[in-house]
Amino acid sequence: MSERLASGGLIDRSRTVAFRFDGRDYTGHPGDTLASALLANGVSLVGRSFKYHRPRGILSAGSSEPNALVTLREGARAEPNIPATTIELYDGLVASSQNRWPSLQYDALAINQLFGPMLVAGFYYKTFMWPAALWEKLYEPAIRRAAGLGALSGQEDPDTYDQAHAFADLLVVGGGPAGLIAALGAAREGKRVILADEAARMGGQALAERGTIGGQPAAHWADAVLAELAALPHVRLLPRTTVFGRFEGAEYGAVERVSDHLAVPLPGQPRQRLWKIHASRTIMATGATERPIVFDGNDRPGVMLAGAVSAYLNRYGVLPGKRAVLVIAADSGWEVTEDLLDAGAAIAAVIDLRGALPAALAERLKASGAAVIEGGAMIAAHGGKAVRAITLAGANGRAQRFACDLVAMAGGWNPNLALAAHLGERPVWDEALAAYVPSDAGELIPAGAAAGRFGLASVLASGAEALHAALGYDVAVPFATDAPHGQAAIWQSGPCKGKAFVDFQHDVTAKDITLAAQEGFTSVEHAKRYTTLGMATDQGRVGQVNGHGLLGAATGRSMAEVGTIRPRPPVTPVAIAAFAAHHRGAHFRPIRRTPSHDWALQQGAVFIDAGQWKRAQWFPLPGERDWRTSVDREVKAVRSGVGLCDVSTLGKIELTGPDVGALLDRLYINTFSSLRVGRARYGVMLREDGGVLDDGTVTRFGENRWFLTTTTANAARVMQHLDFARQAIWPDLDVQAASVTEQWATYAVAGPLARDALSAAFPDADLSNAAVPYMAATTLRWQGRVIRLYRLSFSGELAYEVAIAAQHGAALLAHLARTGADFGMVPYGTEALGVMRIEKGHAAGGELNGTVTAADLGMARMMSPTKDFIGKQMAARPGMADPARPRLVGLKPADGQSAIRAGAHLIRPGASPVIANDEGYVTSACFSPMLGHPIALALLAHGADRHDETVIAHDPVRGPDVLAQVCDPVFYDPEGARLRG
Amino acid sequence: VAETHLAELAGFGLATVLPGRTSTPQAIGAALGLALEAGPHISTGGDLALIGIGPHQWLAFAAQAGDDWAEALDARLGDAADVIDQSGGYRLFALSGEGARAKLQQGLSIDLDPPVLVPNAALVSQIAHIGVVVWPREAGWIIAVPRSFAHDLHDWLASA
Repeated sequence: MSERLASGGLIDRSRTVAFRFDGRDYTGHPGDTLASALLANGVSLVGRSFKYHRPRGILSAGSSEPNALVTLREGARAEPNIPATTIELYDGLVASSQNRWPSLQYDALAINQLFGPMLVAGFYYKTFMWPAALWEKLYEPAIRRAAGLGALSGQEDPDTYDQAHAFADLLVVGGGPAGLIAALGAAREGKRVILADEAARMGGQALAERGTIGGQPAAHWADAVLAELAALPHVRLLPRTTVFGRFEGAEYGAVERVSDHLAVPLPGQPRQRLWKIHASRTIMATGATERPIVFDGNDRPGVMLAGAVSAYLNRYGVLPGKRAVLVIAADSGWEVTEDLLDAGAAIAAVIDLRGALPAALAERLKASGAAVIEGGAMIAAHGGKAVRAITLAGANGRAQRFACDLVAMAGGWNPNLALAAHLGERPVWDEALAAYVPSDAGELIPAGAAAGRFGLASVLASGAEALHAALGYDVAVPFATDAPHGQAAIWQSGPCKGKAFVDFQHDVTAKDITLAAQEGFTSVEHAKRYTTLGMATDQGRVGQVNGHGLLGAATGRSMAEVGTIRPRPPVTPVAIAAFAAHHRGAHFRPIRRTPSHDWALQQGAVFIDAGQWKRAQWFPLPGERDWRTSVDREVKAVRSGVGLCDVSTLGKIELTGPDVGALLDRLYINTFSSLRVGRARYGVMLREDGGVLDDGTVTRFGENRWFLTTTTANAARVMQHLDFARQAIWPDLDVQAASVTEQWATYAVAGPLARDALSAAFPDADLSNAAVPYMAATTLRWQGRVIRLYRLSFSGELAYEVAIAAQHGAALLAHLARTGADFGMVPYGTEALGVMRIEKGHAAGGELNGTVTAADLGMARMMSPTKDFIGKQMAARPGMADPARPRLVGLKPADGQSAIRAGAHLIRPGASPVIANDEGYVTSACFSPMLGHPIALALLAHGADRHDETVIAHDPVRGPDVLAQVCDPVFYDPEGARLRG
Repeated sequence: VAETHLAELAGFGLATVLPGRTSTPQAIGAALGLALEAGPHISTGGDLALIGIGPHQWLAFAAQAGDDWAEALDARLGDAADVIDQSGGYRLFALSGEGARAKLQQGLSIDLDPPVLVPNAALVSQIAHIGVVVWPREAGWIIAVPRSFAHDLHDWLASA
């Protein structure tokens, strides 16, 4: 059983913190992780495995932990799947185990272990193949329940997350000895340095080993370097920060756990912060991950990585077990053996699978009563919720059994090279090192154990070399003790006939790898996906290379031939909330507000999204419960009196220069160079392919000053089109242009009383038909400010658009509403606007859908035959000019009452509803309050020649067929008498 | 925690300055009595600052401007450039205080460190998915944001 040592470790023994795990109260010390504190309390069972629900303990002492995943905190702040080995202990910490029911001690689904032989690689795909219909409803939910990680709380996260950018001459990832010496060298040269480390306390292996640097304990040296760095203003230390990905352009993603070591973040502090770091050079000093050894029962609680045993002893002052067995395939295991002996642990046996131990160590062990086995093989670890014994075969092949409660596996170390491979670089196999090492990764330079350099002295030298390679600086390297660090490529030991785990988190065993190879999944990437090795949240950092070794053995290939998988960001999981940061709830995405937004809110407007804009859709009056009532009222009020509508969202572009007219002639199908000053004209633009791009109006305010509008949806696209035309196609034209969409607040004042209402608003202005006729524009002054007044109409009524610089938009609106009150002026929204334009047969979003030509919209005669314009040639292609193309028509229900739905397809009466009989479709539909029945616009083959015919509007998803009569698209005031009044 | 002050500017003048096809930055500078630097820089003369926001494109900024400021500027520039008023198109926020740079750096993916960022730099970028023009002024920063987005950007600026 594990326990706290009487002294030692980098914990603050003067203070005690209380925490709770699975409902039981414990205590620990500041400086502990949840894992070290649990071990200090004798807790070795921490979780249940993913597939077989096997009891699991603590394998490691770092972020690659596959077993001890817990849910941290509770309630809305609960966060699942956090390795206990990374959780800083704080007073009041609450955590719970996962994937067990009803409890960690008695888990019902542990019965899965009995079905182990069935639950092999590819089991789900093989077993739940059919009937396919059951997959989504039955199999998948059942599998998900059984094979679980922790669950989200389902409640809104009460904490905030933010983002920040940082820039540096040198980014150092990893605050171990290699990273520290490199950062120090660069910082002393005055370079901007960012040093990030995933742990709260930087120092890396210097904190876990007992070596010395510069004659002092390595941890003291690390503290001194950190103090020097912290005092420099151009150095940014980012503890608790994982650099999780490397991206194009030397950009790095990092997540800083600002408040995860607190129960509740401090006021004004986020829980986590996402950093985007741009660095000229990066030194990857990310260290190495120890690999386990694959043997039967290697997942029993109490079976740990040897380096983790040292970390718990030296850093946390915790003895992880009282009677240990060491299984060694790397020299680092010898040091751990010494650490255990020095800490007073009993050692039952040490087996070095490679052969001889150093003589002195062997003597010391034998003197302590431990068995020393040089060569030989593992047979199995035994136990249930804790390891109880181990059986191994000596060099002579005879099986021996040793009682123990701790097994330390020293399988060798794999460089943590993910960042050096995120942009596609392939790690290479180093035979001498028995590990994959990074290949060339451009501006990123590996250092220390991440570069395959093991041993304190070698690590420090490597850090200095990396600094020189990165920035050309040299830094003095202090003397450091070094320990032997040879390691062998021993992936498995013993029969592995039972459960010998390769990937602990995903329950992938040696047999699964062999099976995958037998079934043809021999590429590492295929074997990974078939067995799910390395696809858990830990990315298989502990077991991946063991899997490659077993795959190589099963297929008779060397490690270099097998190769390794391509790691992808993130190195460790990042909460989605950190990526979203500010952008959630009301700030999910930016919203554009019109100048009348607050006023519309006061009027009780219902809003609709138009792209990023919020537009008033209608303005319900008290007692109006049905939107149609409000919209019908608004339409009638405009057509019989006067209405007011914010049309500021329309795209607006101001153009200047002597050649604007010439440019517009080439952009629009109709002619603009002849437009007189003070007049406006409607125009249509085509794309290069001859399809309609957009429509709008152009107004000429001066000899060289023009103004055009676009639809709300196409504002940016038209600006781009226009800039491309003037800058790239015709740079010889002297035309300047700028978007003024945001500059002008524009209100439509429409209806037979529009002139009277506006005359009251602007008593000094002459708004008579003679002064401001239809399609005229003028400027006037209101409170000293310029107002642009356009006599334009979208509704078909006598109408004006009144525009003012947008900072005065709210004031003008209030003025118009106040002076208009005497005329019964009502605000109307986009819905009434839409009804009125359908009544007038004006094309809008539904018709300008990217597929139509000008001719389809009945505007063939607008296309000037005497000039060239963008899209002219392509619009003349036979398919584009075919008279059989669907053309704009009006539709009304034959029975005078059935609603025709937008999107319905049109077929001839009696024809069967199949695609071959499709003749077009309904583009816009509404109820016309003026006509008292539903109306619609549609695109219908030969439409212009088919007025008075009947067609079927077929819409089987939403309702029965509707018999409709084809008519002219202009339903209301076809002579246009009203707008010229 | 370093203090940050957020304020909104009012009564300013802002306009796009676009030289004609044959005009030059020198001609614009001469007309306005300032040395106009091409590129993303601010050129100042008198109470006027010209902020480079693109090739052959500047924003003219005056802290205080009357109603016909843009027209007057257009007249001053004569044939050298045309002026399009944008005084209503943007809202301007002033961010100052010790924490201003750090706050701005949270949203702006442009290096704001003094040795890297030249003192008269003009920044055209995005903060929180919203297009902004940023320039330094009086120990702080001005952030110009299209009026329709200003409400959301203000929320971001005001957030911790």
